[in-house]
Amino acid sequence: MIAIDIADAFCLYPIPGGTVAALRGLSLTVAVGERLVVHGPNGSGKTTLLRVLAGEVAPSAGTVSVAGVDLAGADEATRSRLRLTRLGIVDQHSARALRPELSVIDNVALQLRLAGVSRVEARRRASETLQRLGLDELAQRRPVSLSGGEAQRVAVCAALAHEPTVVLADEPTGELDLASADAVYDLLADAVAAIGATLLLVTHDQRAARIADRVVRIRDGRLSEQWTPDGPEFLVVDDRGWVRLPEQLRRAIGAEQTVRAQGEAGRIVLHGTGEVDTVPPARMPAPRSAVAEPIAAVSGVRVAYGTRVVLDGLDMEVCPGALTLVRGRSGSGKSTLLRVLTGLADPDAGRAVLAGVELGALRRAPRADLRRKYVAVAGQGGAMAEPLDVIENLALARIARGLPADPDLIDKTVEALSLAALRERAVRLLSGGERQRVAVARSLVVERPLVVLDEPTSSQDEAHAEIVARVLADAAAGGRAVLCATHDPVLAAVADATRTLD
Amino acid sequence: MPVIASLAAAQLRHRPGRWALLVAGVALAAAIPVVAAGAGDSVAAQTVRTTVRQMSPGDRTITVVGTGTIYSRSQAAAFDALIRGQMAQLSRYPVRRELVFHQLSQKGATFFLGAADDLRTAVRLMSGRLPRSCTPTRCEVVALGGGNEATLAHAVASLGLVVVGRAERTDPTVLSGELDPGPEPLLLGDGADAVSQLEPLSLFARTYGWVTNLDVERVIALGVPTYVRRSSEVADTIIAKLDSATVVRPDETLNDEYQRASLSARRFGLLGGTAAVLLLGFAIVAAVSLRRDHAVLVAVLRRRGARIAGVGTVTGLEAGVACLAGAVLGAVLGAGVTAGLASRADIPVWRTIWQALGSAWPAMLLLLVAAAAVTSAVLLWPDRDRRTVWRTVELIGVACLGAAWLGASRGSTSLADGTDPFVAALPVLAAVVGGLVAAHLWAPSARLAARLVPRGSVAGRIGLLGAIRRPLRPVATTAFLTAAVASVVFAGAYRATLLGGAIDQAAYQVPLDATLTGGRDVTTPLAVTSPSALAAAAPDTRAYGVVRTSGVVRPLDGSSEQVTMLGVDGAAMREVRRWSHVTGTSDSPATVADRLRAPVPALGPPVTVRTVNLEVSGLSPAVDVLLWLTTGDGRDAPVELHRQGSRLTGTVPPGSWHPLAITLNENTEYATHHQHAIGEGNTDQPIVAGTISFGAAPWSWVGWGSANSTAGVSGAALQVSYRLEGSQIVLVPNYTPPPELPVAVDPATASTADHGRLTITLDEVTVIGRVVATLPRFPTTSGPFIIADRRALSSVVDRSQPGTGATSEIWLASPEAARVTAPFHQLTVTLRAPIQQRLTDDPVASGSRLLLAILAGLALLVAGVAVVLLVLGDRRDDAGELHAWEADGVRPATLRRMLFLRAVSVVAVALPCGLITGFVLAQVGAKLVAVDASGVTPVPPLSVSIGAAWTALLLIAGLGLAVALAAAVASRMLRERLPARPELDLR
Repeated sequence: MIAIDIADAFCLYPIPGGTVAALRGLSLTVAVGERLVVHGPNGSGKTTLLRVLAGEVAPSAGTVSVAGVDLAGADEATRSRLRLTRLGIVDQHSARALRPELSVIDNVALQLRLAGVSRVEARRRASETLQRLGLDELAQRRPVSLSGGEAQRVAVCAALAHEPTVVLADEPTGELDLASADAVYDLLADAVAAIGATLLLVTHDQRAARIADRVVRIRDGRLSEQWTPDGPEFLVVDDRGWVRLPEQLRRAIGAEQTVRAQGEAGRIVLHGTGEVDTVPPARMPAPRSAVAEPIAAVSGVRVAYGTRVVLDGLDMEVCPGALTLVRGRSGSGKSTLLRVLTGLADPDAGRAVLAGVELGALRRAPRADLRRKYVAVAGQGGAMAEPLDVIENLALARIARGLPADPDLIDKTVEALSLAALRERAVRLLSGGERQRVAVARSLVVERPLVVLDEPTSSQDEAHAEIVARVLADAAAGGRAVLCATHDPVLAAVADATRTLD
Repeated sequence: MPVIASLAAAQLRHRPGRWALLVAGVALAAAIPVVAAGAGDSVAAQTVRTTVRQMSPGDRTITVVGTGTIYSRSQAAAFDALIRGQMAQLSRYPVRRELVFHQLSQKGATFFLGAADDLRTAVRLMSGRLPRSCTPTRCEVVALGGGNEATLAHAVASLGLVVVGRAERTDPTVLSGELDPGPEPLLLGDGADAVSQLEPLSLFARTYGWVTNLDVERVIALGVPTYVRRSSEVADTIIAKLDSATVVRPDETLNDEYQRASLSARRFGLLGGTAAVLLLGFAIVAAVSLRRDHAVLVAVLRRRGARIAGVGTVTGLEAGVACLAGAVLGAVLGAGVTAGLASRADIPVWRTIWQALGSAWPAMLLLLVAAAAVTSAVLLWPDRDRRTVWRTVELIGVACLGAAWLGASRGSTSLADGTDPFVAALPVLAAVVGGLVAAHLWAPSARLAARLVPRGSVAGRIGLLGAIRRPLRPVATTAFLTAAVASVVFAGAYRATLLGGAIDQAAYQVPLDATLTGGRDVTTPLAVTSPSALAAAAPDTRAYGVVRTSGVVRPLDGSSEQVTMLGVDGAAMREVRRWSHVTGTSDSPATVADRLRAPVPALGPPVTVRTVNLEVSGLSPAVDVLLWLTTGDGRDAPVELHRQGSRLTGTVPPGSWHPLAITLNENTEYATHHQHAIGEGNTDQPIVAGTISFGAAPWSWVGWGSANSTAGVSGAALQVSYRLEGSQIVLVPNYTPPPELPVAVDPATASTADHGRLTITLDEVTVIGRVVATLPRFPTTSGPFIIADRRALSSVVDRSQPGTGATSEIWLASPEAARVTAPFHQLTVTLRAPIQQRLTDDPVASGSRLLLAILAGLALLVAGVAVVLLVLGDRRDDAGELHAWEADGVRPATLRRMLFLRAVSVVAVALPCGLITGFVLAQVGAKLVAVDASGVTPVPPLSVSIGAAWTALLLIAGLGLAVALAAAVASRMLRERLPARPELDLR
């Protein structure tokens, strides 16, 4: 029995000046009762896959069937009915799934009530679900009074109380500590097992494999690899014969653009063609200062959100001339660490020093002054003037810091980040990946000693991710301290130092 | 459905503060219809009071008059009981019974005998004592009015009347109106019943009266229509029992004033429309600020499988409940203001509130539904459909513009037939169009401003650029503020327009500061004063004679039109108050005066003799000769020349006089004989004709001539050959053929001109007028008019009809007009200032202005709330951007300035757009609603004034407050120790 059946699905999003393909011929089949974990880098199409399966986005091409409902061309009523009765959706942010004005039990009962079940019956069934999953003591509380782990477990209950056929979960442990994440995984596994539902779990967290029957990876909008827990990874050959070669494999055979394939008994042998590789190496080694004083440092830092401790006794230094990565699963404290290092947050314990100044002693405005002088930040949001074009935005960033105009620097940076063709295009007309590169450029053109970037390649395809990585590495090589929080292995490949949080 | 309702209720309960501003805005706007209705009632009450106060004491009564029958004592008692019972329904005041006999003449004395109950409260004793007794044979009375007391006492003794004193009336209602005996002496006894039993007069005709004061408070309490209906019922009941009775009551006056007040109150429909704009506009602004939270709710519900209809129902319920709460609060607020107005007008507070709510609820209900619908639409409209939204809104704007143009092109309405829906719709249409224009202008203006701000102004640049990124809120707020400012400007301009209307109307009636015309015994003011004497009476005083006569214009089509002819000095014209408003012309008074100027024959030397003696020959006995003299300042005087043999003799009145004309007329005896002969069928009557020779005169005959005879000088004599065929012969000095008279006329008269020439007939004389200016109106005229230079007109008409060119009135310009004119009680003096004051102080007028002021205040309050909402919304929705800038090193103080500057950018665009929209609205409104502040169709029509000072004061105060509030709100933001993470926060 098939619960989810996707064949050659394409999903195009309109963007100013064209479209972007989030899914590019993805095919996937999930059996009833199967627990599938989906991995993939940022921008690979995981969330789009979930939205297509939830009926929130219609595929541009291909077929999609979920719980027996053909979603290609389904009307709004059909899709609503599917979500109402057969789907359970768990979001990364419990706050996006739970309503603060309702009690826990009413949140859990909400979907049943929307389906027409009486209040009493819905609450009874919600209570049963909570009890079955060990959360009955939370029933009368409000979501705002719950810890992150509790809220996420309640969100799981809310997604399962109406006993759906298929459960879709998007990074359900992204904001949880390890223990809470484990509890949510266990809960999900138990809950779907109890009702015989199919689970499709999207996550970066490798440990989620422990509740999976199968794990797949998506890259560039297609299924690229799949494996079973504890088993070897297999490349996926789709029904059209497409196979995606991982980066390491391509490098291993000595050519990155064309290969010669040869079929042998039970094997396919790929030979490098020996053609000239026009893409420069990802990293041009640059001279480093032998011993550099750290521009920013934390020592003994502890940060907790409620009962959830995200950083505990952390020591770290960010030195000029180095590209330093902070890695870790979602919720491991990467962004928190960046905030502490830049004075946007205070640790509960420990100290943070920026440019030799202890941040804890400073008030808000002096901290802003310090950042203005020493730090360039490229966050996931970014402060950009939408009506202005790329060049004007970069100039504005300098103006905001009181720097004189430097068109040459801006031109070089734009060129390096493959933005030259877009230089006079208004930022509001750029795609997500292009905007992200502008944000990176913005952090570089202000010429601060410390450049802090949060997931700078999350919206880039692999080629552009490599460009960003190379530019950041060059900036580090030029003597700046570059600190990135990222999941991306492309960045990891060029990093001088990596700090993994868990 | 239950889950939908409970979700909506939970939403509203959870963070009521988010909805509170919507509720507050809706409440402020919803209060307006209630206040408008309450103000209407208050104004009506004040109008009744003012009307009654302005009535004469006699008119301020209800009187039952019984005439023609002599009632027996028992009949009188029965009628008395009936009438008192009926009158108690109309007035709480006591009923006084009165009696007056028909005029009596006794022993050479003519007088009236009357009686009134409770006499001591009606008169004040001057001498003697009050009557103490009255029996059928002896009745004590007091004398009132003129007449010799002793003579009267002697004359009435035979009637059994004893005059015991002299008194004067202190209660003006006693024997007033129908029972008023006039100026004849009056003897008054105490007690109508007793006096009616006087035996000597038992068969003498008399009039019975029952009088009570008009009870204003009861009129107000019942309302004029109900009161008048009840009054009619009372009159019918009384007349049914007393055939000969009449009931005199001021119902017609009350009704007229009530109609006037109602008519003016219909203008308040404009305010209803303004309320709608404010309400709906604020609903949009408030809904925009709720969109972000609501979008999260919608996303959750949709993910949980809720259908669009269900989500829409939740939204509608939330919006509906919030708007309902706002409407209820608005009703309470409106009731509060109404209570204040009612209390100020001294009318029953609760009844007024109840009536106001009763009148306003349909409008409020309509507004409530519209506000809920608009709120829901804004909350639910998907982000991705921005272009569709704009197109829809633009389509609405174009439709509104078209509708406004079509509506305005229909012309004005007097509102006489009821409320015109377009009157209420006009502010909506204007505000939508103005708001949309402003909304369109905001983004380019902000973009331009962002480019123009100095390079170092980070707050200005990033603030404006950031706002452009998410323009919905600033654009919506700009549109709303434009509507609010337009409402304020409209209120201010309309208020100033109404005030200006009062000034214009007063100036139309009295063009300068005062007008003096003839009185009961004096035909011309020059009989008792002169312009020069008046000018000398007070500093900075000028007086101008004006000639007013009437004529007939005869167009080529053979028709005829009666016109008022005015001769006005150019200098007087230059002093006409609010010239362009009252005349409606764009030409200056100097221009018009210059065009009207015409050569006037010079006066001859003054007559230096006191007696004029003229040798005459050939004068038929059937002819009378009249010498006309003039002072040159507008006074003409005829001098009858009597025959004394071959001489004609006449006496020149005192003063300096110049010869004006000599007229020859058939004398009365001949004319009578002539007419009788014709009447008897003898048509063959000779025409009086011949040649007269006037000998030497105190003036030279050189230059004398005539239009209807032949005159020539021979030596020192003047030879005149004449034929008297119906019209008189007029001989004038410095004779020239009648010149064309330059005239300014009304457009209708101008349209009858033949090549710019009008044939004007003045009595028997025809004058050719040359149209040199067309004036839509001219003060003191009604209907067609012809204006000419006074001296030119005077000369033309005097040479045709001597005496008709005399000054008939004086226009006086003086800062002390009242004092200057005070001595001239023989004349009719009309002062401009009291007329203007009366028009300005009219309760309907002042009520209109008060209501407009309240509207302006409420509009500014709502605007202030909207500006605060803008800052709060920007802070909340742009938390991510603010955080990013702060992470980039921008100080929180700069970010606070940035938020403030965004609010300022909205105000900066909305202010001029609102000013223009409001002014256009006031202009169209004043043209559309052709009633003035006091509810009558004004002449001249209302002319829009901006009311710059009042409006500017209000705007500066209001918007200054709004900007200050924005600054205060912004200054409290970003004050936490550390920046908060801009993450989803659903607490």
